[in-house]
Amino acid sequence: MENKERKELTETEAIDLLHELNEDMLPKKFGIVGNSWTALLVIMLLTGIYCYINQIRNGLSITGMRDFVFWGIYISNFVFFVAISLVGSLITAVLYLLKVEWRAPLSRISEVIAVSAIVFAGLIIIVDMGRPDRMINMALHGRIQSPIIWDVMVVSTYMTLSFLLLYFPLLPGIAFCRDRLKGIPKWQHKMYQILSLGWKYSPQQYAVVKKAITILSIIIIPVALCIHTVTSWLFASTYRPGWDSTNFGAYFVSGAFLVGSGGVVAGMYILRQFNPSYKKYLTDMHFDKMGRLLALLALVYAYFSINEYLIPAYKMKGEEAGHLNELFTGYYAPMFWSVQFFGMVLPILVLMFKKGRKPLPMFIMAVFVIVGAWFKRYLIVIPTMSFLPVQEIPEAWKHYSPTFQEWAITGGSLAGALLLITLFVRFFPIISVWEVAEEKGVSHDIIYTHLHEGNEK
Amino acid sequence: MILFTHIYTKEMKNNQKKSIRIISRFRSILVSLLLGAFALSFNVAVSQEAKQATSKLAFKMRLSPILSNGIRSVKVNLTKMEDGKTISVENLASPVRLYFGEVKKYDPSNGTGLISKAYINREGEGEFEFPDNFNKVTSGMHEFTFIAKLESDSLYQDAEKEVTVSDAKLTIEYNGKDSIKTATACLMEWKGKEYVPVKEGELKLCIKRAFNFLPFGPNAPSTDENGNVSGELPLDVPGNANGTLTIAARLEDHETFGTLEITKDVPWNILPKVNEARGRTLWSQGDNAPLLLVISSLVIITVIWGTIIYLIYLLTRVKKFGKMP
Repeated sequence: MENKERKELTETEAIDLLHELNEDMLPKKFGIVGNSWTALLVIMLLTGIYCYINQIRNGLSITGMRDFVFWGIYISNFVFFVAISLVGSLITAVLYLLKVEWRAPLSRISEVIAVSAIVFAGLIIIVDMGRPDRMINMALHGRIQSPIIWDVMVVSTYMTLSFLLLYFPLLPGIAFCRDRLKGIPKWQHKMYQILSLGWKYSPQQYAVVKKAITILSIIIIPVALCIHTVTSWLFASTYRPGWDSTNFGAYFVSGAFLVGSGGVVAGMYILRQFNPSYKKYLTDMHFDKMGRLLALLALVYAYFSINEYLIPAYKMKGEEAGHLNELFTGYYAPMFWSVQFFGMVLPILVLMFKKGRKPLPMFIMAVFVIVGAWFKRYLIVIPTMSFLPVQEIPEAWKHYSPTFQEWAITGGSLAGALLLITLFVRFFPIISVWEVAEEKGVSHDIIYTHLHEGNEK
Repeated sequence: MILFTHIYTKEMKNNQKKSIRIISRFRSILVSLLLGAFALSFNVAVSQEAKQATSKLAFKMRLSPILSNGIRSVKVNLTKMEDGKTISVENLASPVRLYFGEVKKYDPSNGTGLISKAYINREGEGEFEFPDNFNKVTSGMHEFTFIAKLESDSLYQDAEKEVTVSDAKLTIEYNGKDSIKTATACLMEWKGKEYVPVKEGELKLCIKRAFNFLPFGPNAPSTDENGNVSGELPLDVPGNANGTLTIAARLEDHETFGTLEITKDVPWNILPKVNEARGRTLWSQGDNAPLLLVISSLVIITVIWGTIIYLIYLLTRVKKFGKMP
């Protein structure tokens, strides 16, 4: 994090800045909007849980999935969650190792998104199982040759690493809440006490945290690449049209970085609206930098998308042709072209211009990217199911339309992920005080002395 | 001014009268329209109902009585004609009911009446489960009449199908003492007071596999005057994991007896060998992954999870530093 060109602040300036940061970053109680938003998410989550209980009772027959279309929106939602979770490794790890300082206020937002998404990715894959009680058989009789086993291993590993990457830099923040938040319930104080691991802002503790962040940043990058590559191999290791592709790994990873960055931009904008004091730390400069990054990622994704569709379309062989015709001009064409335009082309065009990289247009583009990414996963998973090497099957078997229960469970999982992020914002500092202080040129000694002494007082 | 007020008031009254007249006319038009619409919709509904009643779909019902290892069951298969092709009835919402003897409520004393109902799957097939005591209460009977009925379905016409099967007995014997292993099946039918052999019955000898029957023995099997069919078992067939082989005799869709089936587990010494030829490959079953894959996976998992354990150790170091003065 050391930067030779960084302007060191004087002690008085540094202490003033720390004081200001302290005031701004303490989590605050929600107002009516925050409480209503939380209530809405809780209701959606509970509806999803209720429908899942119903699914356990009656089996997967309550879904629109059948023998032929056996993967539905649960799987496309799983791929979406895995994709969005990759942002943790991009913003926190890649930009950290590249010593990009403007990433400091964004790193925790990206990590919270990553942890919430990967937790619900793990849960939604269990929802997709007809008999979740048989999951133990994966451990007992799993074949190491199977991509499903690789996926289970890599999802659990990435979840652990993401949690650690969130937790280590958060330790000073938890201690900060423990020491500075007054008039909070006992349980909340106890929670801070347990989670802060006796943090007392000592240089040795900071040294350990920094060491851990460096190790995590190095190790999480290959694991992050693995998680989405392996997820793509779940599809690419089959012969199905649309999935039988050697481009799938890179295509999935590039798409994941794009949607993850879109998630961070949307988060930044909403946080600024939610708490105006965040505008000092999530500035137009951050939006501009993220806008450039988003445009670059969208261009890379466009490159892999062209590879994914153009070359098979040039050959138009066998069932691949039928699949592509369905996407380009058939039943799925409106969704396919909307996703390409709104989720990729339009963001590239808008973000090319400086005015397009202002907070509001950035937010709109980010929403397009996220929604587009969800439907893109739907288009990757579902349409190929209707191309079967079986003759004269009833037409109805080829089509899939999710039932209300499926939508409710999927909506519940999305609400659950958002609820985790919302609760995090409610109880923990969403922007890292010490990392932002470092970014702004406050020396480590001053951070230690000020925070520690403040605590002693 | 007074005059003006008078004229104005008069005009107002006239207008009011006019409006009342228009409203009352409009009301009567509205009422007639409503009545007309009601009559029309009633007519349409009645005619639609009548049309629906007459336009219910026709289908063909086929019953297959089965006696498998002494246990009776009946399968039903529904087909219909569409564009000149015979296709399965795939969307029947109502159940098909099966009766034994006559259409009435179930009588537990002799097993007659309603046996069970079955819902049709997407292949147009259904299977009726019989009450547990059915064999017991019908042990003295030698002719079985089953009636399947479909009633009051919204889409399909009512239908009824009856099938009668005679009592028959199927046995199978295995001779594995010599180097040539054989099996003999015997088909007998009830005639008068006893079971007598059935001649020229198309009785097949098979080995039961996971999903189907593998035939062995004569190419065109037919029972002799003793009701027997014999066949030589192929010696290279792998048996079950417990060292047995399941042999079977089947008489399929016989017009007098229905489908008869009997199975028998016989000792067999050729155990299934997994991956005998393949060895350790990516497509092998069980724990036969290529060693390189196993070793590289273990190395990667150890390195990454070893690092995670080290990071958790670092958390304990944070806690330890917190306790230091």
